[in-house]
Amino acid sequence: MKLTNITLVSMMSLLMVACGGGGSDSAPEPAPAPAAVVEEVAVTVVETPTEVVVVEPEQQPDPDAIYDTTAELIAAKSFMLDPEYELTVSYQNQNSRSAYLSVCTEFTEGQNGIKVSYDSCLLRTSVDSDYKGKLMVANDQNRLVMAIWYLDDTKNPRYEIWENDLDSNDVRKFEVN
Amino acid sequence: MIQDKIANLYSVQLATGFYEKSSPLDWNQEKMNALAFSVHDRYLYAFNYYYGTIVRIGSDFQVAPISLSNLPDKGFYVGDISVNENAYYLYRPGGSYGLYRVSLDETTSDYLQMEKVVNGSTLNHAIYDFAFHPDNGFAYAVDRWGNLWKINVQAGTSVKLSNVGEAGVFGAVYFDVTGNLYISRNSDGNIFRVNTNWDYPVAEFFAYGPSSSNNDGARCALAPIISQESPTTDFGDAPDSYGSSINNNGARHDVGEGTLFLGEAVTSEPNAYADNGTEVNDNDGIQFVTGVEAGKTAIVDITSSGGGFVNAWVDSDKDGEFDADEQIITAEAVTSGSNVVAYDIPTWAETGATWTRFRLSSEQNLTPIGGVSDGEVEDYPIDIAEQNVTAMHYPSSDTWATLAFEDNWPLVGDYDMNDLVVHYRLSSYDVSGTLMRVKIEGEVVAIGASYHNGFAFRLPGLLRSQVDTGRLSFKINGVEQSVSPLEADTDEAIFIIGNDLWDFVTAGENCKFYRTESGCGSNIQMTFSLEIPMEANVNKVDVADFPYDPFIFASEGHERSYVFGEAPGRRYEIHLKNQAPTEAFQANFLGRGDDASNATNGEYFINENGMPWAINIPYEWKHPLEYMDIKYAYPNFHSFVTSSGELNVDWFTVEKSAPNNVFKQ
Repeated sequence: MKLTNITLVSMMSLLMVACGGGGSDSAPEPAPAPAAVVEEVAVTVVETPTEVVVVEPEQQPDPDAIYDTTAELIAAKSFMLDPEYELTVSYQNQNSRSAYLSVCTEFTEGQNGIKVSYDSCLLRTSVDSDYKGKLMVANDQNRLVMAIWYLDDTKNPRYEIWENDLDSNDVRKFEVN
Repeated sequence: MIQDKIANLYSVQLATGFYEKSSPLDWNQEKMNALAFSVHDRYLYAFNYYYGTIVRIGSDFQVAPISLSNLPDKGFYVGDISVNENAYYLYRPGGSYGLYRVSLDETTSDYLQMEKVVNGSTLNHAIYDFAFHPDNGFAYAVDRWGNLWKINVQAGTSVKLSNVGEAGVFGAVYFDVTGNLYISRNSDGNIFRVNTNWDYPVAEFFAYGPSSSNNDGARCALAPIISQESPTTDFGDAPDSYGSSINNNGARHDVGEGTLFLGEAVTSEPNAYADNGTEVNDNDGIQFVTGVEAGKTAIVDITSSGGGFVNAWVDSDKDGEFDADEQIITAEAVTSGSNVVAYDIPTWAETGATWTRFRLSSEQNLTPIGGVSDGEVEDYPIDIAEQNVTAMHYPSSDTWATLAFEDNWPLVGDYDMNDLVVHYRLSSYDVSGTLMRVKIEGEVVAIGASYHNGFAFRLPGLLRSQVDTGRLSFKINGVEQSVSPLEADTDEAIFIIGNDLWDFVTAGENCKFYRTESGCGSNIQMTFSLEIPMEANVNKVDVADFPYDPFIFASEGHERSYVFGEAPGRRYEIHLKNQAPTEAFQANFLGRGDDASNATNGEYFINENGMPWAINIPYEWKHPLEYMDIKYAYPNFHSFVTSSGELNVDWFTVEKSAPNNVFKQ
């Protein structure tokens, strides 16, 4: 999408040059005939795609570059610098049991099973049917637990653990059936 | 306190009723009574039934009988030593006895002479102990019908002040330095507090203490009732309207032998909100394994160190008190380890932030206030939610994310990323996609610049008119603000946390800035919280995702850099990378100086290198020291950026920091 936008903008500026327009602030002269514009568009569209990339002034980040100061550091303009990742969470509630679902980061696995710190949750929700949602998870959190407490059987909660695959570039999914 | 036929001396923690035997196992003393503490020589005195006279008890528990002249042939069980004069007063009702005075002052001519002040049929009260007021010279006692008597021991007269509303044999009574009389009832050990400063003093239940058939107590009336130096009491944390501090008869437990507690630990403190002197957080026994929703069943997991009973309350109507109908768990027997308990939240519960109190004790039935001799109290702030709500938290419900600003925009700064550092967390609550509430909490962690900045959150996609301003809550440092945070004259919903953050914080002594220079640590001086309820029918999908749009703006009347001819004020904003400014921003500021924003491409607040003036980190980030380039505080930051997030994804953690180059408190 972004490239398309850039293309269009560049096309328009080329168009203006082609039409002889010198900016709109000081030129009260009448606009050129629309018919001419249409014809020239056809010509430019064919020629510009490679030029756009060249003309684009963005300095591309170099993963191997070493900079002494952050003032010299170059970032991709579209890179938001957020050290977090998106995780889709889904839970299939087989028998539509009334339950309470939490997705949290802090938990321990000991002799007495899993203990969750419910202060560390990203998601907490009542569920009577399936659940699906999207979370933003900090990059230093690579293990999450889903705790499901059933209101018709409060003594037997269910725990599922998800681990991030750091090598994967796929969208992360925490799916529990 | 002294009890039993073969006497035992107990230390009693009045605040909680906790007691333990102090006297040695082989003490072998006969019954004693009329126990008194002398503030003059700091000995305990008592009437000893074996010697048939008064005795002096030293801190080594040595008992020395003192022979008196004119001693009647009967024992005394009522007595105390005056604070104003060094004299021991003993009393027994009835015509053969009365009120006696014994001078303990060696320099007086009547030293150790027993003198009858008044006959026991003239001063005739069914009292079992009395205690001297810390400064007015009168002795006070409560008789078996609950009448409070103020006794003039010189004149041998008495005045009835009130009926305290509790009857029984009050065998041990004590004063504290502020004029509270503590009366301990033999039959059940209950300790009541009677504030003698009141016009009509009545008994408030105070603590569950030891019971006994014979019983007498003494204490230094000039001492506060909880030791400041070596506290043994655990208090709650809820605001004092709930009854937390000792002044408000707060819920408190004697830590005692430390065997019965919630979670992994209990610590003692001199009072509620006081520092317990350790880093230990002993509020660790309750896990809210489900949310708390009005009209639904909720579940808690209670970790106990041993067998006992749990009582718990939720302030469901949010009136700042735990009312009788707000008890959610009553005398629930728990055992060592995990105890899963389900409870119901009333349908009339109001949504939003409130408090809960959990009390564990061997005592079965407790109220939300008062002292008890064992166990622990834990108070938790919670949110009562609407039924079937989905709560989402960023970065999680009890951790902080960090916003770090360089405020020299549109000029490139020094990249120490500490001109403004804010910790914050966000929560949203929706029911089936309808956004009910948003919560914003945070604290201003550092200001490493002399520019004056305001701080605000915009919720992109939410209109000002969609906010339920009537229920909006905005607190700074825990205090509800009278000024609405919702910015006026805009269509968008913009919440102003502060128009000039320098109004809320100060630099340290000999420091230029707030918490950015080495040696310039201070406490956090500004916290904030916002609860934003919505009018009906706001679709969550129409509102932006976390972290919404936090931004800073120039404070009115304060100059900025040369790029601006005049103080730009509210028209000046700095947002996170590629976040469009608000409608209050002056659009032609973009592109000035080093700014390379390109609105058409959706690129905002970046320089020609694609670097922003603000970063967001979903972590409680330690910011770089003043003038310290972020690269030298976080050596992996550059690689994270140049790889567009492929490498060193955890560059921001404390483990990956250069410890000498980040600010330390």
